[in-house]
Amino acid sequence: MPLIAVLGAAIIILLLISWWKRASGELLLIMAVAALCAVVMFSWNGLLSPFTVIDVGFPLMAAFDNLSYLSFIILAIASFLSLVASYNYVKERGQNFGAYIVLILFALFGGMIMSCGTNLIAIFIGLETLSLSAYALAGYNKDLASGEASIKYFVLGAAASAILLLGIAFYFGASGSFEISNIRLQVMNLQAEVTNKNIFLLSAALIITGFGFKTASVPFQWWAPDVYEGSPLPVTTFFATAVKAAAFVAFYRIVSSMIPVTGDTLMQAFYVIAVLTMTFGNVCAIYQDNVKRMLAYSSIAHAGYIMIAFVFMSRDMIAAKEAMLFYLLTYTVMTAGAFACLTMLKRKGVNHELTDISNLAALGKRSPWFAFAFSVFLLSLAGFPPTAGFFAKFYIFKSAIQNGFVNLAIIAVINSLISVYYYMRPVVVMYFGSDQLPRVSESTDEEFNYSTAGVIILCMILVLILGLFPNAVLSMIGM
Amino acid sequence: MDISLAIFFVISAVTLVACGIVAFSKNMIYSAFALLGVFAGVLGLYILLSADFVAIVQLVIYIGGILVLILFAVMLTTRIDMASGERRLVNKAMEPLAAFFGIAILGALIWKSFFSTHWTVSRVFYGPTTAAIGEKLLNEYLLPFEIISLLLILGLVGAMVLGRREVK
Repeated sequence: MPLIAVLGAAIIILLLISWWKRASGELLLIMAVAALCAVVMFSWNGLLSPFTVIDVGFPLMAAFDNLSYLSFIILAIASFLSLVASYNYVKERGQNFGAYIVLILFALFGGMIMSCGTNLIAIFIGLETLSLSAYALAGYNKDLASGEASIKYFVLGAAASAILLLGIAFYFGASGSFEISNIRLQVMNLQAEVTNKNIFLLSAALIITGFGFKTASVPFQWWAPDVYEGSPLPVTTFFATAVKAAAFVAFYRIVSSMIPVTGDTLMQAFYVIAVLTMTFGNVCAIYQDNVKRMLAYSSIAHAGYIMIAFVFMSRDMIAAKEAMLFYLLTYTVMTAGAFACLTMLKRKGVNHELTDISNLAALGKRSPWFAFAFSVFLLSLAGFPPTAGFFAKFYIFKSAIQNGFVNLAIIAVINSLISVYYYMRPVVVMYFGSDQLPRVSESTDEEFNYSTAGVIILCMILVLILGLFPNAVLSMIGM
Repeated sequence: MDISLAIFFVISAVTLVACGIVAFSKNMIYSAFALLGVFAGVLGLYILLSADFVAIVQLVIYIGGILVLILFAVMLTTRIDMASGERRLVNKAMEPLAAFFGIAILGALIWKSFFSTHWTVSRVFYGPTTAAIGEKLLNEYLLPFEIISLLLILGLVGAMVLGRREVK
């Protein structure tokens, strides 16, 4: 049902904008938001009372368990935030909002297929649907940086997809099926002929490469800063939240089904990837003067933290799932909030994004509430106690220690200490920066931007709720 | 020596040589034409594997469609045959180094796994496969098949979004 809701809305809006040229942006936005609310509602119902899938005469290739429903909800929230935040952004630049909504909804559909698919073919096609819309969205601003982002993403993404496909082919060769849920049944079969296991590991390596690219983890992360910086801000929000979340959920599903065959072998690979990813992201983020680029590197670092869940997955699969989902949810909310704050920054008559750190100077004096909200998101990203980011990190590190990865947890904590430095820089500039820097007026000076402000307030509330009452959400995830 | 084995080696050699020309030729047009050899070689391999449908698709789409498109693109672009292919790199050693590591890692993985596997050889059955593929597509793989049609719509929408000029 959630899938049909998204698909239906996407197609109706597509037809509407092609027939009715003057369809107002508000109407389309309301329709899209209604579809997203329907997704959340259906998923919530499904979560409470799992229904049995009706036999439709052909394999559905999808599992509707609580992992899929929760990831539907996360993806819908992420798309909602980036859609609403982009309303003004797109309107100011005179771009076509209808096509934008359609692309976001199609991307959401692809992401949902990915997160509920149990067949590698279905997952791959979902991934392609997601990526194809992402390539188009990256080039939505027709300036040089946006075009570069789109081309770069497309070429590298196509290469990554090819590698993933090669991995899927080897998977088929080793296991004789594209299904990833029945692999547990074949464990006996595979262990009897251990010789096949090497092919299986080869396919695992290639699949890790493909998904490592999509989740922007080291050593496949080189595209991320440029693409994140060049894309329009709301689209960057979407990349950092929905695309990443969908890739991680599909990745989780595939890897968790491989574990009976591979055992602890993949653990070492994930260990290395996790450590490299968070260290690279955090160290590079220190040197960035552009806040958008800094957030891109920080998103790499956060992918590293989530990878920790993959390290201890072979020991404790349930804890890994819960930690990963909670982290994805909080990361979605706080990143979307931070990017929405950046969207608010603009100068009268200037259409390009003002994301340099100097633009934040003395914001604390000019609009204290706005500066406060931005500070909360940055503190949350850094992982300070009363916010959601703290509990997400705490939970993932705690599970790592419980499963005997004390060294890994120590490395991760050191990394988050490094990250405090660069997250604090914008805060310091906002409150203590001099007013002498180029005079920049942000939006409260001209028109107050309701849609973006709404997103910021919503994200703020969610960050605080997740930070103050994490148990409620965790018990929901653990159902 | 089996005759099909000999044919296999001949086709592979032709394909690999054509691949080399595509990759290393200085002239863009030579590369484009050598691509014909690559596609034709792969087509031969498909036939050897008794994949008749895939072979025909390869002929129609790759040789008939994509190759012709590439040739058109090459010929309609001015002075592309004089493009030397030189790029400004930050570090000249980076490119070969990256290629070397990529090939070495992937090659080692494939090498290791292939030689530790007992391959069971089955006799190739030469016969039409189209009907079986159609059955599979509309029964077992109906869902991905339908989603692919969405993917095509999406491709059109994306191309429209990126390609058209803004109307103010």
